[in-house]
Amino acid sequence: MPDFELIKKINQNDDQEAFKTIIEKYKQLVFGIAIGFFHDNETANDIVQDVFIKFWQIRKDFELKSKFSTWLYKVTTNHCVNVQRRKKIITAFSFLSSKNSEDKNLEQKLLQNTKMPEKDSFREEHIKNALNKAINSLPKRQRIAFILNKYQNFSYKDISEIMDLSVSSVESLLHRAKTNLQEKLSDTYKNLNN
Amino acid sequence: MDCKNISKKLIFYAENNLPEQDKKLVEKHISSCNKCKQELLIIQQAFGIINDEKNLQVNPYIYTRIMAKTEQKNTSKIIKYVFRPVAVSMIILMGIWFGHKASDIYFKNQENNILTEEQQFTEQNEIYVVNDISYEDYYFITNQ
Ligand SMILES: [Zn+2]
Repeated sequence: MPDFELIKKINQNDDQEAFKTIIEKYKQLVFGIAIGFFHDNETANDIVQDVFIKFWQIRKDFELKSKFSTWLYKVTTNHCVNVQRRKKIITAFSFLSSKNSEDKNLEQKLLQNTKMPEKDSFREEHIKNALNKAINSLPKRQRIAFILNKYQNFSYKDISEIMDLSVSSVESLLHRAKTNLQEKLSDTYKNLNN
Repeated sequence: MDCKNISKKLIFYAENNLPEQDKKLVEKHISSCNKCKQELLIIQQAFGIINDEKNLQVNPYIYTRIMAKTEQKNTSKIIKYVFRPVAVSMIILMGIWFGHKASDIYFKNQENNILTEEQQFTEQNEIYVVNDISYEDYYFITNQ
């Protein structure tokens, strides 16, 4: 059944079966975007939950102006950006009293390796941290474009629809995002070799 | 070409997104430059990490979780719109009862029976509470 018919059923009859079909169809995609932002299972599942609950709450007033999927990805990216902003504020405050939690996690993981220091897992963990930090520090629009492109393999055209931009703007955003990431990851090389 | 210019191209090389000419330049450079080679390895590893993350799966019970949450929200709405006003009304009623008790004692101790401002205020409250309860009764009837 096409999306617009499912939406109509949800919209007019509170149809839970139709709602379930929509969730089953899109949950993994919403989750994938959230993973790109948070790199964490629990937070990503929370995002999926929030997004679909929001949709259920506004179902009566929901008007399908564009493709449902486009609307859904738009809401998802907005929500992720907002949650990320809130988390950054919380981290900034907790930083005043203790060390950065990411650094703490890394320390703890390294302490758990009580046998021989595993150089590979250290390296992997280090690169993973650097990558997540690098993505998170990208300017908002570059970050969104990069995540949609790299974590979901969305085409430039899909991204342009989700972000309300022209295809060429998306192209240049992605180019800048990757150049920025490259620079930040070069620093990782320096850190790993110091 | 120097390291700085090569470094800018490495991420595009890693995702196989360079024109053939640039691709050859990068390959030639990294064959003799360990620093750029290591940088490329880091980028390739970073892309590998992204690919691993892409394999993560959403909670298979997410639908149940969502429905439970939406029902929880409905319940909290009932608490908000039905039970809370009822509880508030009860507290006000108890307040009035204590008020009456207190005023009885007060007036027993007073010779004159002139209405005080305090008592007038309490009587106004009484009218409000009666209206409130009748509204709640109405709510229950219409929702049954
Ligand atoms: Zn070099």
